[in-house]
Amino acid sequence: MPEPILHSKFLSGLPAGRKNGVRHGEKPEKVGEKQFDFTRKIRELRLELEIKKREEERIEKDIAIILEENTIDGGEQNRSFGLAVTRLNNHMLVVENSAKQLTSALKNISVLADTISGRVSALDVAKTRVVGCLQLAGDMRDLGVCAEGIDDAIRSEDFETASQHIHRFLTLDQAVFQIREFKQKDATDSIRHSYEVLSSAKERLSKILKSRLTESVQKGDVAEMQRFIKMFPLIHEPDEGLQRYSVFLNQKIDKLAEDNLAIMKAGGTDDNRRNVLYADTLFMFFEGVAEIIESNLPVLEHSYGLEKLLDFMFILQARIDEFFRRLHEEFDTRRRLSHFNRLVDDVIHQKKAAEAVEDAPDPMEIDAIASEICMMNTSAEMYWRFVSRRIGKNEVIRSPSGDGDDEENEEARQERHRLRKEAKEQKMDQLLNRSRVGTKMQELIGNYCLLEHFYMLKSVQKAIKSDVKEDAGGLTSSIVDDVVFIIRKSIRRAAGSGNVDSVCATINNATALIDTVVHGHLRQSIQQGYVTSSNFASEAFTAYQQGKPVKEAADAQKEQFLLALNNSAKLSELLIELQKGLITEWAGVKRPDVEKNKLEHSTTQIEESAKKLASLAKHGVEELFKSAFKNKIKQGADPYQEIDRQMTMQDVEYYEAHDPFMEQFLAQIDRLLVENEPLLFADNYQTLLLLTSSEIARQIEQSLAKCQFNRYGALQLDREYRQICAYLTNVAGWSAREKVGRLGQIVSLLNVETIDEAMEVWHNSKAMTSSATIRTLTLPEVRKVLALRADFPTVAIKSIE
Amino acid sequence: MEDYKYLFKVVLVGNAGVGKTCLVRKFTQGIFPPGQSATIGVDFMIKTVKVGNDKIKLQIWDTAGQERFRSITQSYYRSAHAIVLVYDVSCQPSFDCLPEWLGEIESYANRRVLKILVGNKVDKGDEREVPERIGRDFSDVNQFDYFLETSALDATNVDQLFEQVATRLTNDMKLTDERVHQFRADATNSSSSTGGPIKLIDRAQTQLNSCCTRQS
Repeated sequence: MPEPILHSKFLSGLPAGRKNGVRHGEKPEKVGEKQFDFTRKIRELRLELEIKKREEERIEKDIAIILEENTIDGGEQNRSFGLAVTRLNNHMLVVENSAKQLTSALKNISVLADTISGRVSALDVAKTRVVGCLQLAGDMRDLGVCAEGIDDAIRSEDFETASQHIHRFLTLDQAVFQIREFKQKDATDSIRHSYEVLSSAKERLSKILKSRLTESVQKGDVAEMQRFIKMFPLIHEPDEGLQRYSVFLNQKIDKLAEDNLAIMKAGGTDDNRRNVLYADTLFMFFEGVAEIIESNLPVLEHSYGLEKLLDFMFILQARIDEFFRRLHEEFDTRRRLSHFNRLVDDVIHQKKAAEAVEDAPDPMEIDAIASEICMMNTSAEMYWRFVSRRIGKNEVIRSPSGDGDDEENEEARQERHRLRKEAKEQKMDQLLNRSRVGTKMQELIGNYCLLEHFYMLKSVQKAIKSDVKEDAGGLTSSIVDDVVFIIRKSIRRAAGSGNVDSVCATINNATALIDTVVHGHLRQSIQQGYVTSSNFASEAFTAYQQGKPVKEAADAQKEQFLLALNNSAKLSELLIELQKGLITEWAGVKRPDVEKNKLEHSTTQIEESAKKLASLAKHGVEELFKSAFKNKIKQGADPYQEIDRQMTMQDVEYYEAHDPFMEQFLAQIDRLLVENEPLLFADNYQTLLLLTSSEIARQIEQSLAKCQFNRYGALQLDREYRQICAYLTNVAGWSAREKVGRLGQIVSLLNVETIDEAMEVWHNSKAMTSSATIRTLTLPEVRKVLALRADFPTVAIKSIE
Repeated sequence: MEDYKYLFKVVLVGNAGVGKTCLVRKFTQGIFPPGQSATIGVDFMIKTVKVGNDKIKLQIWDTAGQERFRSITQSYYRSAHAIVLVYDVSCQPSFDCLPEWLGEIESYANRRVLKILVGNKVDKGDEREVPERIGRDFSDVNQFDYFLETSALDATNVDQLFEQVATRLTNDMKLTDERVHQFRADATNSSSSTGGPIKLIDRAQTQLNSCCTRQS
């Protein structure tokens, strides 16, 4: 027990230390002062000691009591704790036992589960084997049945049943035949026997079917043919069947071809359609072929499937190509296409001098051939569309049903589908674009483009040559309508062929013609200039030299100029109309995006040509303006500066009633305009009006720069400016206001009381016209304008910023 | 149509099978179509590129190289802004035909057309039959504006080719625009006197016309 040890230490340790301490302290005293009486001190100390001893005892007692109390309590606690531990221990033992039991139970269960799953998988294997066996047994039974039935079927000419048997035989699992290689002799014998019977039967049947089909093809017995043709896929020889069947169809096609060629060579059935004889023949032929395909395809489609169908088309294509070759040859020689092609090429590309091509082909003849080629292409396109629709349609029906493989993941199926589609597209492309008909047709379209180009060129040249002004009142001449008519006709014809590339090429060629030949012709007339009385003298001299009646020559040239001017503007307008018309015309036709884009971008060229013509017309109007208007406006504006602008109020009032200048000036211009209005096409007249507006503004600006104003003078100027504005808006509309905008700024700058106010006006106008086409006056210009106010001090004007 | 600063017409020509379509596909769609069959007629693509801060729309007409399409393809020369003549560096005959093509370009195309010579299929390495030097010399002698060897297969220089086309055409066009403005300004400034200014207006007008011609 720890208590007694602690107690003894306590007793011996501490008092001993104290005694020592006391002893050390007392010793010197005892030595040095023996004479002193220590009794009192000792008594005191003893007393104290006594007190301390008692205190110690009391404390010890206390401690003992406390310790005793504690010991009693601690013991009890220990005991109860010990009990609890024991109880816990017991519980733990129980748990441990239970756990052990659980473990063993689990072990048992897992063993059991293993056993069960093992049995299940064994069952599974057994089941698949059973299924396999059943299948095998079924196959073997089928084999037996087939072997038994086949001979009878063949003998009784029941080829449908026979080929069904063979089909069953051929689709049997290979495992069936492996059986004959092992174990019991008798079982394998029968299988081997059946196999041999069927193999030989297949050979026989195949031979019979082939000969029967060939026979029926020779006899032309359609019902027999269709009966036999269905069996070839069943005996796994579809190509044989197709081959034989195509012989029959090829015969039909050949016959059709012969008939059509014979009719063609005889000159056709209708004399009215003689110039489209070849196109008609081609059309009839394609119609016939389409009919043949249409009536035979369902049978093939049902028993052969899609892929084979396309192959079949290839076999037929050879005959179609052959027909086309003969037709094309005939077409080429009879219509002298190659010959014309060479000539046309020379003319268009100017490989020979113009006079060398004396036997230039007649545009009318070329026109006819061009039309015929277009019709031929239309027929071909129609046939191709028929083929791709027939075969494309099948694809759509086939693909969603797929192969029924639901387990196959979607991606792989799509991938396969895509690959198949691609392969098919390639084959179709091969058939459509690379077959003889395809390539020859492309060649013909190439020829057509050349011929069309020639036709347009010659027709336009003719239109220029035979250009006449229809009636006296008209502003334009026949060339405008002719050119638009020719171009529209050619582009429409190209569009009718169904070949987008030829449309684009024709548009290219047409716009080239407009930009060069037509544009050049019009420009030539415009560049000769506009004759007025002012430059009449020199013109008269030239005319005199050329021995023409002077007046007449001048008039003729003037007329030519105006005509070209108006023709350009009108043609530009009509071309824009044509472009819009073509776009709406083609909007309804369904085409691939690439082709739509091509057409869209090609037609913009027509618009560009139109813009060029419009700018030519504008240029012409400027010429006219320069020679007929500019000087007159300048002369008219001259008297302006003669009016004194340092006015009084009375002057202003007087001028209000008696206009000093502007009314007359505007009347003069109005006379000029009225004179020209009936001579000009609306667009051109508008251009002229705008030019006039600008010129008026410029001349007035120049004139007023020579004047000196006071406040009243400026007021008068403002009134005049309003007159100009009112007049121009009246005749030329709001766009004319823009042309006099700068003048307006000057006028409002002059109409101020002080320089500060002028600055305000200037800043306001700057803010207002920031985006408009009118330029604001610059600072030096403002200074210049303000200097016109005689009443403003020069120094103040100079100092503005 | 979306907004763009200029629209240029680019026409590709050259013998059949030199890889014109592949170049265009690589540039416009980023794909190299293996087993590309011969183009029928003319193929058409649009691609917008950036030159500096300007959006430039390239209208690419990819023509068929075969003889039977010649009359269709010829009609595209006149309005082209740029003609890219392509040959195959691994095929000497395609190079030998270049003078013939050049003849066509000279007789049908605009005189100011941007002419670019391209030797395609440089990826063919050992099979090369036309050394780069020879191609470059030909382009120098015949005043091509630019020469480049490309490969549509591994994308060598494909983007660069069309970027060059766009950049050069844009710069040319900007120059023309500036000149037109200059002439116009001259014309308005000095039109108060007679004689000289009329010529200036004419010049501005012709300049404008020629600019329009290029825009077509």
